[in-house]
Amino acid sequence: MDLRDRRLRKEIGVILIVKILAITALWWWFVRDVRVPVDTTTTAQHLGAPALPTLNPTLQGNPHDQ
Amino acid sequence: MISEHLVDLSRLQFAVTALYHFLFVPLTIGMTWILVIMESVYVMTGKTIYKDMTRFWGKLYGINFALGVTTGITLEFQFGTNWAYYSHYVGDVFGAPLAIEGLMAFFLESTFIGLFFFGWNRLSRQQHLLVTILMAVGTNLSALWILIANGWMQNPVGAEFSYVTMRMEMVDFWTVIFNPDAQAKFVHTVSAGYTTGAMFVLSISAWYLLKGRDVEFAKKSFRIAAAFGFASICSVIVLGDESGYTVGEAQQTKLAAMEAMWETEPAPAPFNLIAIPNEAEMKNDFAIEIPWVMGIIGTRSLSKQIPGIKEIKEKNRERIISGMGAVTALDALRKSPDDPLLKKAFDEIKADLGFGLLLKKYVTSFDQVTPEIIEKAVNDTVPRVAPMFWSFRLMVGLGFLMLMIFGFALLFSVKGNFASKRWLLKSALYALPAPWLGCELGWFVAEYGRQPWTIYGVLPTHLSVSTLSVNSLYGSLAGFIGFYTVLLIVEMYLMIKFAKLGPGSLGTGRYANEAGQLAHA
Repeated sequence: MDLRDRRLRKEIGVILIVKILAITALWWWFVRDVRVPVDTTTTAQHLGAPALPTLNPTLQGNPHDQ
Repeated sequence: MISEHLVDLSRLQFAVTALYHFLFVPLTIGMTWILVIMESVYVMTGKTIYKDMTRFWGKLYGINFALGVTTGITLEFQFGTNWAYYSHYVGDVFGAPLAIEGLMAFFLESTFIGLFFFGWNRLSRQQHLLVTILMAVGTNLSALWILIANGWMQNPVGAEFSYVTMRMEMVDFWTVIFNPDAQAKFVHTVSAGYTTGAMFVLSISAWYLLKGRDVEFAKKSFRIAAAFGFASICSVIVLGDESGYTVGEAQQTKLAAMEAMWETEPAPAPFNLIAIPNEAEMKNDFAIEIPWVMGIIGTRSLSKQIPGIKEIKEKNRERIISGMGAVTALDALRKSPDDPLLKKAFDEIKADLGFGLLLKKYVTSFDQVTPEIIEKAVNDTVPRVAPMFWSFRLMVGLGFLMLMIFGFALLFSVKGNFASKRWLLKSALYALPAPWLGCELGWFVAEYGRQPWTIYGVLPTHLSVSTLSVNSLYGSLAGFIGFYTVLLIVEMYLMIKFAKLGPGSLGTGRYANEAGQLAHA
């Protein structure tokens, strides 16, 4: 291993450490405390709609043919 | 209702991080096979210059890998934080390929990359070549799994919606794996990566030749890049055509938007070479058409029609109205899950469930729905045409530009006089950004063209996002942009530094610039 390789390895090593620290910091500040509890019930509430009322006749169309 | 601002910010954050991530990925994918070729020649001929080539280009590959690795992790953060409903809805299908991709990347690929760099003096020639081949295989396999996951988002096959768990559940693993969209996307994307690697080597070698330094090293590198690049760009174009065909089969809306096809033309449809799309009046103000070409590309036949945007919108209107029934039936079924009549009613129209959900962008309850709201939802089903049309054409144009450059590079390599063609060397040098630009445009067309869906025809984007605070998203977006910008600057600095040092950076005593490099290094 020559001088240049040692220098490059050192630089890449420093970059990797800084990167791991940066990603950890991003996780710490923006992800760690974020809890978005999503389960079957919350998804049903999120997606669901109340029972279909009688539609305005102008909205009635032929259901898509399966 | 979910705020539009929140949806836009979540999309922007994912797009920014994905596009940054993909600056590193194609070079990694492409360089691995170029290293395999160079090292194979070394093992077969025993000529030291090919070992030097493998080590030098491997060094630049290593810099790119070190800077690029883990940049995809922030995307995975976002699945949990910003896209929680998406993750719940599709986790049963999407999670498996994503997890396998992680395992491939971190175990197979990274292990062999370590052996590649530290094994030169510890392994025999043949053993080291095997390591390089396995490194390339690992890199490509990890790309396969992520593209299977993405292909499923474009064409969700092998899965069914469960009203019990309120999510998509995998019913056929092999259908997901052999999804035609995923397979076409994989070969097209990795070919684009090979082209990127080849252009990288071709451009830097051309620069050495223009400078008149390390001539033998640069000539040999240039020849390998020209041959590999020509084969790769031909693959990109042929497989891109195949990818376009699968889009025509599974995502007619995307195809119509890419081609600014407002009307359903008689088969075979013409291809709009150039057009000025007028979205408000749903027509092209100006167009240069090539007869038959679109029909042949999009359907592989002379008799099949390709539906235009107007016809697609009319079909989508019917599906939205049917989808309202599906959402309502789902709601009723969840209250009485054992009712066979309700289940039968839901099963009949559940394919339109996603279309009914498109209305949730505008109303919380279907009794608020008006014809105007349905019209808005119908318009939402087609992405904006002009960005799709021009991004696609720019990508294709860049592809043909690279085909010409690699074609001439290969032609004059065979003739043996490329080093004296300064116009060719300058063209190769200036074309360096072209593959990256092409890749980014390709992803834009693929992902923007999928809107308004995260899972095409199944889950609308606005229902996929988490209910986070806008301020939190601004903060994390700024953090991600800062992080990636720093990485990109460091990448550019190290790449330029070592490209300038050239093979002299190996310290073998056989190349230019060795005396002065310590001052630079």
